[in-house]
Amino acid sequence: MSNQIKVEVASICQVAPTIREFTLEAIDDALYPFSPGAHVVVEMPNKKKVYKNAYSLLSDPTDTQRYRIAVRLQDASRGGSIYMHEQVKVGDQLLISPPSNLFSPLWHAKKHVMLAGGVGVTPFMSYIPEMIRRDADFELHYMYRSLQTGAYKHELSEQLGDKYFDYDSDRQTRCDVTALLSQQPLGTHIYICGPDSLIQAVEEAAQTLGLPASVIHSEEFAAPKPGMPFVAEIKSTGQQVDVSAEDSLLEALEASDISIPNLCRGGVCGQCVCTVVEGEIDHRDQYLSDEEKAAGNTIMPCVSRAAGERLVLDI
Amino acid sequence: MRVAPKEVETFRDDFTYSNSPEAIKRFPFPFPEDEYRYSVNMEPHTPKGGEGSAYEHFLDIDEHYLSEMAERKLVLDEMPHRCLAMEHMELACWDMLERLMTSLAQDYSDYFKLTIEGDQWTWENKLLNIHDTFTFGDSSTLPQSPLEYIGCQVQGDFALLDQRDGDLFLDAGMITCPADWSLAFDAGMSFKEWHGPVPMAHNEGIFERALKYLTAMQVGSPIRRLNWTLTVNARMDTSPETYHEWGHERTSVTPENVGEKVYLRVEMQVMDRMPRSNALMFIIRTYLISLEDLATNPEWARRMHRTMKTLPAPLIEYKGLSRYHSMVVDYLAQFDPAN
Amino acid sequence: MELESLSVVVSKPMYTAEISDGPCAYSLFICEQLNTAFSDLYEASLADKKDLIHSADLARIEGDLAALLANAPAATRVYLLGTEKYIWLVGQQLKALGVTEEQMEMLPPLSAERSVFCCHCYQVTDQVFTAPARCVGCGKLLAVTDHFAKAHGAYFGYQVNAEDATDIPASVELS
Ligand code: HEM
Ligand code: FES
Repeated sequence: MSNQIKVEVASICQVAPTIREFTLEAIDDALYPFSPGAHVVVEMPNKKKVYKNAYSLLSDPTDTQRYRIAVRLQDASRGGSIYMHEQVKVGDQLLISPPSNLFSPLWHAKKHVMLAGGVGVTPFMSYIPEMIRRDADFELHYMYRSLQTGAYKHELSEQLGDKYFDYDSDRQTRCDVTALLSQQPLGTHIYICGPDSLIQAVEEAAQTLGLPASVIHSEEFAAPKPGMPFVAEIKSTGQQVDVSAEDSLLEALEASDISIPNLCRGGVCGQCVCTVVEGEIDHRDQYLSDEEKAAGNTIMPCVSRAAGERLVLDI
Repeated sequence: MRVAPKEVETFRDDFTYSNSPEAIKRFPFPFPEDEYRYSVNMEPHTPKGGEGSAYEHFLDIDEHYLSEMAERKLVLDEMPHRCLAMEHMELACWDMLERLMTSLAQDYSDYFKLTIEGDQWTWENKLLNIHDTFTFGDSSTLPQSPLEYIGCQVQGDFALLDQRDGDLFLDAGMITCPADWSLAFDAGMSFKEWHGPVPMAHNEGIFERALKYLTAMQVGSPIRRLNWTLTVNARMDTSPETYHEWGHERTSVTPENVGEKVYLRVEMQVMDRMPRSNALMFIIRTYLISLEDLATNPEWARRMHRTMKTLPAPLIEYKGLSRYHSMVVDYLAQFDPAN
Repeated sequence: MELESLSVVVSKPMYTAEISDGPCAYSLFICEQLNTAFSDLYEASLADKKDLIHSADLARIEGDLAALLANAPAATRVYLLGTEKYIWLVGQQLKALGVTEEQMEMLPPLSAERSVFCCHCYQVTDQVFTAPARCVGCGKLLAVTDHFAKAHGAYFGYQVNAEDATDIPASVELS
């Protein structure tokens, strides 16, 4: 994507046993201001595969000189965090996307209850300064394992006082989600960022108690799903087009001088549709119907990819 | 070369509005095919058409700038409530002011100048003789609300949509030249609600797809789409509020005057994500061209004949063309050799 | 602007008599007119705490709601019965107090009457059973559309004969 922003790693610090914080500074232009809850997608150049991971911005939204993110070291399946922890040094340059936000606080809420699990505290780091500025009623419930996570717990506890509650499962303190939800007044919105098990526990408790689903929010990322490289073969000419992990099929075709009509480049307009004669498709568009997707012979190359290593296109 | 703003012309009463040959040439003709159907016709708002084109810059300032600003003032003086911003949209209004000022100053440096020193901003608009210094984010330092202040200096109507729970809400806007919809009535509605009256498109899933795309839009990647209708006389303010004043003009079209009286009205709609508020800005930039002027381009005239001839009945009715649609088709037929 | 002959307008609310009766800690019943079905519903409610407001006076209701909901729990459910305008205007008051639309159970309106928002003078005309209808604000004869605004509890109306003063459609009953 062309609208990426080049940043330099200005500092790195360990904020919990398995969590590192990176401060990213603008190189060319100032950075965009952002809204609380926003995230960026960090692109990590690597020999074999480019990792793209989404991280919440935890700096003050009004600071356009630098962004801060925190990365938890995950097991090998998420190679990006290992890369961030082991390869990235102060002074390195990285590419990031502009901020996007699918986890904005609802400012008309009467009260905000934030539930953070481990590194899931990060989006709330940008909520809190704004909640304080707006004099909003809020609470932060922070669940972590002190042997691994728990970043920023001291400063949060100090800053928030009786709005701050913590639960350390390495010390056997746990959060009773049902009790917590049942105490909340009308007009409360609940925000969750943490493991799926936490999200599920809150959703179930809410349902049992009779809280509306529309007051429960969990973090979503607009990050592109990672893609694997594959080969597209053009049936009429036999030409083989390599599609790298970073490029869309449409971009790869264009780079090989094969032009496909297109408009939105985002899987909604239907212009770029192509016929597939061979190969499994990983459908990622909003345009084709479920039946068309199941039939497996049409693809929207601006967003969709091969599910396997090869696709044959009828062009 | 870009067309320079000319003297004020009118969009009401004596209707002195006219397009220069250059303005005709750069008109954003909306029909890519011989048949027109609703579709998710959205594309990245990137420059095309080269210097002077309506698509050259993020905002298009053209020869009608002074006329449109004068017309907007007439509308707002009479009906101040045509501009509204709910309380929670304050930050979005400042986002919008910043986006518009920075892009005007960058793309039209002969006309507009922005100087930023911390939160002290100085704005100069040489076309309207405006020169103000204010504190960014502090509405009390501006002569009007931020939305009204900047909105009255840029061609096009503006809406600011609040994004909540995967939907968009029409919570602020300045709508002085709508194609027949009322901000006062639609205020606060969701994407599907305010599109309620549009025929056909709901069933085809068009709004669902468009909404998914819009809610995922990122800062710095604006998109655009074109919409169109027909208007009798060069009237900018075809609002429901004033419909009782202009509705009768729809019966004034005759086979003799249709070419000069009926205008193709094109809206270049630009959507852009606002960084601080996460709101979506929606710009509706309206262009008007008489059929007579349009027909100076034979390709346009031929295409327009075909799109009008095959326009589905629900669209003819929804767009309010029933009384004179057939006269438009007959008039345009002379430019279509297939006829 | 001939909207009325078009197919479904998406903003027109739909109501079902089926009431979803999930768990809740507090249930509030608000009605313009009390009927037996509604009082049965109130009696049958198993919530820990419940209240019933029977009033047509929106200003009074606003005061009552502020008091009743000040300490209400998040698991609150509200049941509404009345004319269409009534339930949506009370709905607006509830929304301002933190009740989501999901928490409001709106029963089918008591009559087919509509309230109509005049796009020319912004006045709302109530008790409209037939279209076109005379605007109480500016006296124009209004076409009544299916485009509904929750904030006004009313349908969009515009002068029916603005294009041709003599062209007035026959009166039809609204449903
Ligand atoms: C997000 C900002 C948008 C706003 C504020 C907006 C607003 C409106 C409004 C107020 C109307 C008039 C409805 C009426 O008759 O009362 C309208 C019509 C329409 N809109 Fe949108 N719209 C937006 C985006 C879109 C997008 C992205 C699409 C893409 C498909 C779209 C498609 C349409 C269509 C097809 C019509 C009917 C137009 C005609 O035939 O003249 N709109 N819009
Ligand atoms: S370009 Fe729009 S769906 Fe692919």
